[in-house]
Formats: sequence, structure tokens, C-alpha cells
Amino acid sequence: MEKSFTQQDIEKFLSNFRNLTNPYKIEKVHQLLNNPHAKAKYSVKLNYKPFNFIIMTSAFILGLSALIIWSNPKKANIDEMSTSKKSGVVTEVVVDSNFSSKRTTDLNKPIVDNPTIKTKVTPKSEVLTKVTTDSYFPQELTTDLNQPKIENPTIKTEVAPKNDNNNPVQSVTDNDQKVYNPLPEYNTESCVWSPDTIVDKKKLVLELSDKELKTIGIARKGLATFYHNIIAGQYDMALTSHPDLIPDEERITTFNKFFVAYTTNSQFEPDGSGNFYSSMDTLIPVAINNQAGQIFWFTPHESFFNLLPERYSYLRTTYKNLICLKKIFPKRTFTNYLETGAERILDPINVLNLNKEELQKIGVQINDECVLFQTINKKYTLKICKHGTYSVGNDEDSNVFPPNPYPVIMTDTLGRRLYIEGSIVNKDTVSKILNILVPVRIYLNNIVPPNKEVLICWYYPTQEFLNALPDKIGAALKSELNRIINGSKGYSTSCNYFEVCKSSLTLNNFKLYPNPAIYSVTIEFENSEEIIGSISIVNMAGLKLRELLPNTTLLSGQNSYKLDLSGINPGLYLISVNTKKGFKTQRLIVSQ
Amino acid sequence: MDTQNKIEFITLYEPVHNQLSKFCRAISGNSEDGEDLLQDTILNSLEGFNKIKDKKVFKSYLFSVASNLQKMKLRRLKFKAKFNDTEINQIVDFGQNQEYLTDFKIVYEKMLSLPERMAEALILYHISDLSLEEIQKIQGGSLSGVKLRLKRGREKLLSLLNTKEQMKVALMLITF
Repeated sequence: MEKSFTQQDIEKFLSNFRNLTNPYKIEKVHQLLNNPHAKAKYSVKLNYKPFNFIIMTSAFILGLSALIIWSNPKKANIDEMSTSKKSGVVTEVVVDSNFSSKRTTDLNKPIVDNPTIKTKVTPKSEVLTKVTTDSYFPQELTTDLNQPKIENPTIKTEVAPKNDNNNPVQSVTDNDQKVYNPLPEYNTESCVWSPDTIVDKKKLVLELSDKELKTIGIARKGLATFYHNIIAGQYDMALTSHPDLIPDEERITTFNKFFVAYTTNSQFEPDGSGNFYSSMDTLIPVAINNQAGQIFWFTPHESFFNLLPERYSYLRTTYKNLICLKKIFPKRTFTNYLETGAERILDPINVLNLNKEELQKIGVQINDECVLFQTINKKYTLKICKHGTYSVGNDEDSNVFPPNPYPVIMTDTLGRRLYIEGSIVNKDTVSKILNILVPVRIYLNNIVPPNKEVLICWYYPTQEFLNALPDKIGAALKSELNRIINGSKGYSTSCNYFEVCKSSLTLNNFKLYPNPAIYSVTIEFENSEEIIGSISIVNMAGLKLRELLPNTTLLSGQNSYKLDLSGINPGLYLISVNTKKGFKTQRLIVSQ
Repeated sequence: MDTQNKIEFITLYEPVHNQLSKFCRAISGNSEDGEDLLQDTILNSLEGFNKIKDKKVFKSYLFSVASNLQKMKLRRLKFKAKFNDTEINQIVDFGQNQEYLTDFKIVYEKMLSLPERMAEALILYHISDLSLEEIQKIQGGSLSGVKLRLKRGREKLLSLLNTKEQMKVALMLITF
């Protein structure tokens, strides 16, 4: 079908652009503020023109010649390193190694007749960066950092951790960042802990006071949290915002350096992408106590343990053992982190499990290569294929909501990695239909990489969709929908699918807005009598992520609370009001 | 600049970060230049932060700095955004079909070829989600002027798009 562009296409373009995930992380801004020299300089490439290049090269050669003449090679002292403050360059004069052997014996002589000279010029900016990095870090922090007296805070030669055979593990050289030494060979016998050991990571989270946090380089000022790598002597947030920069080999050997490898929320969900879960065994979680409840994950470097208070002295042995296990079994997990720590306050969201034939009836076809989503009229198609090529067919009716049956939202099993169907991005529509969307589990075995194999598709429950489901499920869903739509009182335990139906607490005029929410959400309701209750945000598994409003008296009459959502990863969650008389739950989308 | 000022700056800046970065991203044509512009904006604003007497105008101040820097760059380099498929892929996310990517590219290019203030108003209103009053503060002039610019911008964009041969429209909605 061919037609010209319409106003609607422009709207779609703008809306698509508006909804794109923010490519620039706020951590980068923090980093920039603390170290303006960290600014990326992409625009330089725009200036490159052949003519400019010739001028620049000539200027460089002239400058170089001037420097060589100025440094007077005939009287060059072999060990001399002259620094020019005016020109802002460091000139290093080195005698060529090919210089005749006769003369090398006379190296102590101050004057060399005619040595071949190599000049190494360090650009000004580089020199400045090295010198001034600290000055951009909050002064108060840098002074406090010296409190636990470290003899030489700018240690460059780190003590490499030793393996059990007392051989130091070779660390990465500065000159060749890309070359990583293979892991030394280990045998199971050298580990004190057995491979069956499972550690509850929740119990290892370090709770430090503000003063103790400062000793390891973390300072909090209002809403902002600063991190200063006290060993490397520079601001190191870049590493935390780019965990992907740590190559696979380095993920296992990160204990060779001292830095924050990842930041997560209190539920150990990483802020960015990256292979956090495969590295977390050997990383040390430190609770930051900020509003977002963040956790900084430090590498278990020797110097880190030295900075910790006495009560955590046992950690040295714990991590020594964990590292030992991790080296032998790099792909195994020794920490049990999610189920043990978080409190389950609600039943998990009931996700439909359909077999291949049943899925086919709702327009989902699965083969070895692809999963195909199709509307009943087969005009609208989405393919998720093995090689990552997803394609969508045209449909002239696709702007008519809802294209049915068709997934409106797609998430992972915990409601994260959220994909919203374009036509319902409108905020009003989302809040209206979110609570009655029906989740269906779809296995993408062999199609996508491991850990991403389960996709939850959320369908709008139209008559067609409900009829296409197995009879029993379809009937149950219809009955629950009737209850919700008719607003029948006396919610019963017979509800199995929709949380709104399951809710046992009656609160009039219950409103949750904005939905999708970004930084905060406002909750409003009318209460018939005064009662003590709390409000929490819960994930799809029913685990409490955070208590947004601790136990408080919910007044009789109108109640309104603005709840802070900072630190909650984008995804689909439940907001639950819990009282002694029951609970009320509604779904909420947190977007970026 | 002392720590206190930096903290005040970042406190005021954080809520605006998303809007500003989308603006920089959209107006500069590609993500690298967008990041460059964002960083320049932050550093420049930080420098002049003490001069702002009423911190309520901070938001419009930030956007004005970004807008001026971009204009300055365009004047200096006579550069109009160029795109490649990778760039477009970054914006609309992977998974889009080729047809839609082509359409997206065409609309984007045409939008940036609009007169500067017109394109800016469109981006500020539709992509960065700023209110009309906020745009008025940034661009100057009257409120009705902003409204008119938006209306004419959309109309002009449409006419620019339909001057060439009719394009096949890929009504691709999923942002997968």
C-alpha cells in the first residue's frame, strides 16, 4: 500500500523519538562535573579537512624542530628530562639504543658528541589532567579521605593478589590494555571451601556509617553520591556506568584492581546492562544509605579490606575462598541473592502457561528459528528470530486500537525490559487498561541467548482473545473481568488472575498517577475510617522492592501521597496498600 | 566553583537531564554530537551558574545555552546533520524493519532542514516535552508566536515530506 506522509506519521515519528531511552546516563554528568577534562571531544572529527591537516602537520613539524634546537642536542644530558611550562609540553630526551656501543660505556659523561635523539611530546591537556583531577573533587571529601592514613595514596604499583601457590597473579600492563593474561591453573584441592558452598549474599552487604563510607571513597551530599577511587587517586564513576567495558576475562580477575565495578539497587538489580550476575560472587556489596537505596559493588582488592573497620575483618577470608572457587568454576554461581532476602508480601502475578497449540490459537507460532505474533486477520506480524532480525508486516488497521489479539506490552519474567506497543503509549490509555492486561508466558528456547529465554506478553482481554483461550481459563478471566467492570462489592478469594480483583481492601476513588511514572508517583484514595497501613512497590514475583510509605495512619477521608521512585529500574510493578484489614493492589509502569 | 555550588547545580539539573539530553540528541543529528553538545552545555552553564540570580529560570537557561551553542556550531562549521543507518538504528532501537528506518530517516532529515527556530520549537515541544511557556522563555517572543511556529513547523514539515515522490508508509508501531 502506497500513500503520502500524513500528519499522523509525523506524530508517530515525534512520539517514537520522545520515547527513546535516554542515551546519556546521569552518572556521566556527575563525572563531568567532578572532572571537566573527562569531556568527550567528538566534534574534532568534523574539522578534519585535507588543507587543515597539512597546516597542522607543518605546524607540528616546525614546533618539533624548534624544540629540538632549543633543547640543544649537542649538550644534551642523557638523563635530562626538560619541562617547558610555557609551551605546556613535557619533552623527554632519550638516547637511541642503536647508539654505538663504545659510547654507551661512557654514559656518565655529561656531553655526547652526536647522539640520535628521540623526542617524546606529551600534549598539554594530558599533563593537566593528571595534575588537576583531584582539584575538582569536593575538597571536604579529599581531606577526609586522608584520615585513615595511607602511606602513599597514589600507589601505582598495586600488590597483585597471590594465589594459593604464592605466585602472584599477573596483572594487566598499562602499555597493552587489551592483552589479558590467562588465568593461572588451579585445582579444587587448593580451595578451602567446597564447590557446593552457597553464600547468602544478602548477609554480606556492608552497612557502613557516613564516616566509614568516606574512608573507602564514598561521600554523600544531599541527593548526590560521590565516589572517589582513593587508590588510583581519581574519580572513577566511569567504570561504574560502563560495566560492559570490563571484558570477560577481566570480570573474573577484577580483584586485581580497586574500584566500584557495578552499582545496583537494594534488590541487586544492576543500573545498566552488563554481565553483573556472573561477576557478583566475588564483588563486595556496600549499602550507600541514599534515598535510592543503592549498593556499590567493590572489587575485592587487598587494599579495600585494609580500609574496612575491624568488624568486617572476616571478609578477607570469605572473599579469598569465593575467589578461589570462582577461578575454578567461572561460570558457576555461589551466591544465593534474591529469594532469601526479599520479603514476599503478595502472590506472584498469575501468568498463563499455554502449550504450543493453545498459543497458536491466540496468534503465536513457534518454530525452531522464530516466534511469530500475528493478528487474527494476519495483517499485523511481529517476528522474533534467532539471528536477532525482527520484522513487522504492514497493516492498514494497525492504528486502530487494539490490534487483537496482539501483545500490548512485553516484559521479562520480573516485569523488566519493557516494550510498549506504540499505539497505547498514550498515558491515559495505559492507566486505563494496565490492570486488566493478561500476561502469557512464551518460551524463546534456542532463539535468544540464555537468561533471556522467557518473554511475558501482556494481552488486552477482548472477546476474541478470551474465546481463543482454553475454555476453563477463558471463563475464569471473563468472570473476573465482570467483577472488575461492574465493580461488584465483596471481593472474593475466587479471583486468581487480576490483582485488582484479588484486592481485599475497599478504598474509594483510588487513583495512581502518572502511569507510566518516572521519578515519583502520586497515590490518592478515600478511606472510610482511620487505619494504620503502609504502601510498597512489589515486583511481578510478589517480592517487596521498597516500602514507599512505612507504617503510617491513613486518615479517614481523602488521602494523597507523593511517593519517590528513584532507583527503581524501568518495568512493570505493583503498588500495594497494606493494612490489617486487607490490601489493595494496582499495576504501575515505571519508565525511564 | 565550590562543592556547594556543584551540588546545587546537580540538584537542579537532575530533573531536567532527560529532557535536555533528548533535546541535544535530536537537534544535533547524531548521538556523538549530541553528547558533545550536552557536555558543552553543562560546562558552560556551570561556569555561568553563579550569575543566575533567580534559580527558577535555570531550566530555560540550560536550554538557551544548548540552543546557542548549537547555532554557533552550525554557523561555524556550516554543518547540517548527516545520518547513517547505524545512527537511525540507535534512535529507533533495533528490530525495526528497513522500510520504517528509511521513513524515520527522511522525516528526521526534513525536520532538521526546517528553519532553526521552527525545528527547535518542534523538538522542545514534542520530543523534550516542554510547555509552551517554557519554550517562550527559551526562544523569546510571544506565546502566540511559539504556537504559530509549532503549527507552521508541522505544516511545513508535511509539505517538505510530500514534495518528492510518494513514500511508502510503514505503519510500524512496535518499539521492540
